[in-house]
Amino acid sequence: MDAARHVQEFAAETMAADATSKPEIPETGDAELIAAVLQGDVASFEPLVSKYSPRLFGTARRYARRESEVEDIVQEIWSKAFQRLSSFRGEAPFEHWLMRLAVRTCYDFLREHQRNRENTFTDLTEPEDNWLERFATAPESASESADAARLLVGRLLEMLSPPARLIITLLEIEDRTVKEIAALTGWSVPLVKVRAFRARAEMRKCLQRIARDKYL
Amino acid sequence: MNVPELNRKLVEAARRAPLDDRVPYAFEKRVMAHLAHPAGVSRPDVWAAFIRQLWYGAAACAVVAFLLNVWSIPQVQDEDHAFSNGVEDCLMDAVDDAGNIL
Repeated sequence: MDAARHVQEFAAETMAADATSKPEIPETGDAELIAAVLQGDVASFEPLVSKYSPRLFGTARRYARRESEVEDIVQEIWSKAFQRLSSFRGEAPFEHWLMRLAVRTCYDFLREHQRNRENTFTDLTEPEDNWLERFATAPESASESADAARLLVGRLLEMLSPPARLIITLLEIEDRTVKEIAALTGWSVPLVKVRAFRARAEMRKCLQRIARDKYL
Repeated sequence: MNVPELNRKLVEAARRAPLDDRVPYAFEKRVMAHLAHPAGVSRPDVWAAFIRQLWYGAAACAVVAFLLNVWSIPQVQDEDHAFSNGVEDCLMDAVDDAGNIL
């Protein structure tokens, strides 16, 4: 415990020292940084990484549970962004281009790891079990803001197939439009609609399985 | 259990969950180090490339061998027939010659 506290204190001190020792750098626009990277100044890529990594981590954590997997996904996104930077035309903001890359990388990750999907809902923790019990007896008393509900939805998403999970996350949780999803994924609008229909059906089936497993 | 209501509640719970956008300490340094020395670019895997080419060669050889085999089956059958006739003629000639001498 002491060692862990020392490490935390050291990290905090180092960060504070870094913050104080760094000179004030005027903020450069994304376009200038990208142009510099394309001209061979690789170091200009670092401010882009610092600026957009929080957004990428937020996205990647929706699709991967382990922190090591999340870090690998974000690193993969940055690798691809660096390699394909010349294909960025600057017509749309860099963030949009990066998010398209992020969503496609996360989808590739889901497809590669689809064999590790959870198939059962049997190993619920006590709070999750209690939340379901409460919902079964009095649905209005089960709060949506409870941690148990968040854990349950995480489990539920892990049971879905990769396209269904991606669609449910983008459409239902992030509340994006069909057109936005089509732009992010590279799928056509009719394909997004078809996959959304199937994803909702898949989710209903999973929920019915939970209800059957627990109460029959 | 009311499945549509459970679906709605769980989706609502996921929406309310705050986005966890924490970045590990010095992550940008790790990315930049990875970009400076990407694995596999500085030292290409020569053995993997050689083995891949070997597999392509083996597949092409197998196809050629199969085609040659298919093409040669009728010829072999004809040759077998010619060989049996030749043996028969040779034996019968010897018998004929012996009959003539006697």
